[in-house]
Amino acid sequence: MTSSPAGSSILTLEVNAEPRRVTVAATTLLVDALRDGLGLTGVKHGCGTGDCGSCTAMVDGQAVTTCLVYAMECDDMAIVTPEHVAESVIGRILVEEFVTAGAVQCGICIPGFIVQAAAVLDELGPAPAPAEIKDALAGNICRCTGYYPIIAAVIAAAARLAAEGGAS
Amino acid sequence: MTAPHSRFGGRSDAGAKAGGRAGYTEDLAPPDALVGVVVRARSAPSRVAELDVDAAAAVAGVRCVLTAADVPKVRMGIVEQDEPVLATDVRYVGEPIALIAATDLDAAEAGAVALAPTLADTGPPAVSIESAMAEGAPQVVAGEGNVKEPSAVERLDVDRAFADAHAVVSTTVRTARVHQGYIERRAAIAAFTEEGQLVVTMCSQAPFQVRQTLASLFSMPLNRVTVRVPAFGGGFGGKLHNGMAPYAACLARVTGQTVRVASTRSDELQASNPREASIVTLETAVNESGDLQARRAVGYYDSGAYAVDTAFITSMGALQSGGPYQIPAVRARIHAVRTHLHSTGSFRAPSGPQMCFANEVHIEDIAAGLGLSPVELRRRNLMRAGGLGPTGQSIESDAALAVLDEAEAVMAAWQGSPTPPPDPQTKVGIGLAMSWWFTAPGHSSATLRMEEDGSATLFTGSTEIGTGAVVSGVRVIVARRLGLVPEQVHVVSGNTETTPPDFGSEGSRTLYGAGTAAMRAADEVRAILAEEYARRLEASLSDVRFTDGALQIAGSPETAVAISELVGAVSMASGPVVGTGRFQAEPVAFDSACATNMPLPTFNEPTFHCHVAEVHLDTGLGRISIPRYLAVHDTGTVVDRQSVIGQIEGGVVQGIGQALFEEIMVGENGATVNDSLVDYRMPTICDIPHELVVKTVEDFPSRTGPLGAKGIGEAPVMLAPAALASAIRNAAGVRLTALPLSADRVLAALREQRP
Repeated sequence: MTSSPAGSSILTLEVNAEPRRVTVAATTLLVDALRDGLGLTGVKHGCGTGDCGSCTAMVDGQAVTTCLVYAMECDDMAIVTPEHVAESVIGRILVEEFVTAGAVQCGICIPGFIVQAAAVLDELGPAPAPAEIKDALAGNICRCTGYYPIIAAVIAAAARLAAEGGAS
Repeated sequence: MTAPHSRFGGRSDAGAKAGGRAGYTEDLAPPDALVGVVVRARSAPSRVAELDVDAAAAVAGVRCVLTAADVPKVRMGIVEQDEPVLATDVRYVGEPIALIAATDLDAAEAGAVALAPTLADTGPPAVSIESAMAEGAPQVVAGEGNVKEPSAVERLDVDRAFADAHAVVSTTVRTARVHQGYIERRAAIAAFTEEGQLVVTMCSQAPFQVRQTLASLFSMPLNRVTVRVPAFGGGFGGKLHNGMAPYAACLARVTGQTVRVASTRSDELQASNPREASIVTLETAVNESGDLQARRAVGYYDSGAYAVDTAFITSMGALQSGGPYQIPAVRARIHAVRTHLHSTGSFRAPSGPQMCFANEVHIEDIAAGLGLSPVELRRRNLMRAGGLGPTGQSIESDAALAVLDEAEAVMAAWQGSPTPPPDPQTKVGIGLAMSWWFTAPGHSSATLRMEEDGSATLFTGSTEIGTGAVVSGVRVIVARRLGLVPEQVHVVSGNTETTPPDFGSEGSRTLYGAGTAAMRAADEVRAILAEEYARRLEASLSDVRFTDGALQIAGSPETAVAISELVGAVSMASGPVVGTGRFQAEPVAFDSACATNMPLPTFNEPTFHCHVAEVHLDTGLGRISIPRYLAVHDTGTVVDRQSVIGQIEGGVVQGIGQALFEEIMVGENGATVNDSLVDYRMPTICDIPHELVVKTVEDFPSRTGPLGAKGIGEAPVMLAPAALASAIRNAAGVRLTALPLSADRVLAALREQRP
């Protein structure tokens, strides 16, 4: 991190496996640094208080609501946004199963769900119970689907991941 | 019949959305766009006494500060033109009083602080229906009472029926303000091009209505305003109105730059257009055998500070004064009541949940009073073919009975083996609710262009708001008419400049209206191609079939000629193959003498619905969980099953939120208390029924809808409050008459019941 006279700083991050530099103020949230600073709009603004999960991205391997994190807290960390998760083995399977299950209506919450699901899919094992999936996704809100196709998609993705023997 | 689908279902937009690549409004702002913020009043009613415009303008990065004096004086509104762009006389906390554009959000917000609004209070606020109706209540509009003239229905001799009744039963319910809860905040990006075109990118369910507003604000011809709707993050009625567009456009006009404005979640819960709170009283005159003979209904709907579309909502309320039941004599009076709160508006099935709740608590009250089975009482009185709706419209089918029969069979099975409660203080109960709803009328249009390779491009003015009606349903309809697979049909929508007009994606009408227009456009194309084919093969037009991207004589695959070849030939001979389709719903005949102030006097293509809920009621905590839930819906023909099931499942869960926890709470000063998504509690994945069974009754196709489809977008949200209240009544004998059915309400009712 280097400071500049206007109170802003230049952060060095690894974003989607590439080194990136982004200028942020002390108050810039990670979600805004990603969206406005780096043009990565897969993280969405939903609530601004960490309650809806639409801005979820991976920060050093953990799924995080990026509206609750200052960008400056992430200096030198590795960020993976929904666009990149969707290109991983797990992410591709999840995207396909979400689409097949009809889990994408308005779709604005779905990238956050997929990042969250990708973070836990290994742990869930090949045949997760709906209750385990609910625990894992309890922090993400979807207003369109009633969640049923999301649960179905995660079950299908878990089975496929096991069958295809894949890892991210 | 099931539509042909690729492996990834019928939606063309799903992969990009799931992968985070779809562009929603806020994703599309150019990097150099100015950021606009709306400065909102913090007390009401009040007068804006002072704004330090100079101080705000002096903040580094601020480019523009606008007050009421600087914006068009035209008032906005689709029913009454009553709402200013920026207020000087403030009616509600959260009302916009100034606009600031700056190079970034921090600067704009710093400008808003520097503006330091001074508001002079002009009296106490009326912050509830009761306080707005009280003697001497503060008037929201000086010189006018807060209670507006009702949407009214008066049919046959109601007083006589009540005087002669075997019994009269009365029920009053109260319901809360609830928010649509779309995850995408309302946002708009506006710019004036060098040619003077106003171009607004925004999430709007009705872009042609927004275009109208913007054109009138700036005295521009309609064709100089473009409203574009990109990927759309949920609306549920909350994005039918102007949203952030007027604010972004005013700032863009003055700065000459592109301006983006996004609402905050706090603003959404403080200053948007949620579902109205209501107080509804139903009274019924009933005979000994349980025939409902006359209904009196009085409703008070909290319309908030401005009219928005409440006149439509009160008329829908009046049409639901008897629920799905046949009641000969009706007197319904549903009033809008002005309050010093943000204006309410359409939310998926406007007036639906509260009227269904009122009707279904009431029918169970009647059954209890007469000692009859609530299900049998419903069956006895259901609307059936040959009957009349409340304003005298003819009921054309027995769908209501079919829906009840389906539901009752499942209910009986569940009653035979209820889900065992987990502990002794938890009780199990099973309840049922019914409703009727409709498919909104309005206009649609489409043009269909056949490409030289046999693919098709459809231009529709309707907007894909997430339901799949446009990206899947309309596409399936066109594909079926032309013998194509859906992937061969490309749909262009959501742009007032490049598509023909549409009333809007609302009122369960998107597939109904846009689908019918698209089908008519496809039929014009069919006629052109079939004529060319018949001429070439000297075949009779009636023998021509559209199959697998080709035309052929029925039963003779060897006669097939590819659509692409015919398109080329016709184009050479007489011009390109283009079809247009126009649609306006036929008026429904009714008894106009019985209806007053009813901008919506009938239910077009009515539909019937039944939900059954099994609850576990924790009598110690007041907590409700839902082991099983059944939704039975009269859908007509199902064009795209995945989309229909999606509407039903999503609607059920949204309805459960309104039933169990959702409520916009307002303090004595009129400010929203729970203005975040942790305090405004929407259903999470942990709140859904353990098992949800969906059944579609498809035996009663729509007479006027495309391929026999009826609207299904809204009705699924209506029934959960009533069905859950019925199940709680069944579990513990407590009668709940207020929404939400929160744990504290349930506990209070249980305590009251104990001696």
